[in-house]
Amino acid sequence: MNQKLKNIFVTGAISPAFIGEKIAAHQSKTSIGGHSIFLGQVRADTIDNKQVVSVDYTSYEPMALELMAAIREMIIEKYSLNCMHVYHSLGKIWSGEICLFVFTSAPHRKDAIDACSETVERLKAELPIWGKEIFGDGSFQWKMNQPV
Amino acid sequence: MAVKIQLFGQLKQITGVPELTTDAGDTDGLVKEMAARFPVLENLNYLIAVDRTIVQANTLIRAGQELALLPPYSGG
Repeated sequence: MNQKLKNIFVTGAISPAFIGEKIAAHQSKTSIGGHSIFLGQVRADTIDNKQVVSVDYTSYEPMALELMAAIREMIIEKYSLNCMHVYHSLGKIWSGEICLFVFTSAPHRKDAIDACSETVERLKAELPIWGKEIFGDGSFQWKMNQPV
Repeated sequence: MAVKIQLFGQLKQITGVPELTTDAGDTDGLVKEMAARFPVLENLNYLIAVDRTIVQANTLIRAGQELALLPPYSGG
C-alpha cells in the first residue's frame, strides 16, 4: 500500500465540538441520506470498591493503522458507503469523556447503521490498542473488552 | 543476530521496558526465552506480530524484521 495511511489517533479526548464540526462538514455531500455515529465514552466502573477515574490508551500505531485501512476499505465496499471516519483517543481520558468516534455515511440508513456497528466491533477486536484503567488511588488494571 | 522486539500494554509494564532484543531463531524459541526471562508471562496470553502481521504457527525470525508482542486488545 503506497498511499499514506489515514491516521485515526488523536491525543486526548474527542470533544463534542469536533464531532459537531465533522457532521457539519458533510452538508455539502448531498448524495448522503443517512449517517450513523458511535461514540465510546470512558465508564467509571467500580471494581473492588474502587472507581475508575481515567483510562490511559496506547497502541502499536503502525500496525493499527494498516489494519484499520483494510477494515475501512472492506466496509466501504460492502455497504456502499459515501464515507467513513474513525477517531480513537490515545493518552489519558477521564471518565465521561469520549474516546472513540465512528461516523459512517451512506445513501440509505440501514447501510450506514450496519457499517457503523461492524466497524466498531472489528476495531475493538482487531486493532492493537490497550486501555489501562486508573483508579482514584492511583492503582490500575488492564481493561478487558466485553464480548458483544 | 539480535532482533529488536517491541512490547506493548501489560507486557511493557511487566518487563519495565518498551523493547528488548532476542537471539531466538524462531517464534517458538522467542516464547520460551521470554518465559525464562519473565516467569510471570507464563500466565499471560499474548500474540506475536512479525512485520505487523500476527503469526500463529512457528515462524523463522530474520534480521531486519519488526517483531512485537501484543497482549489482549482493549481499544474502544
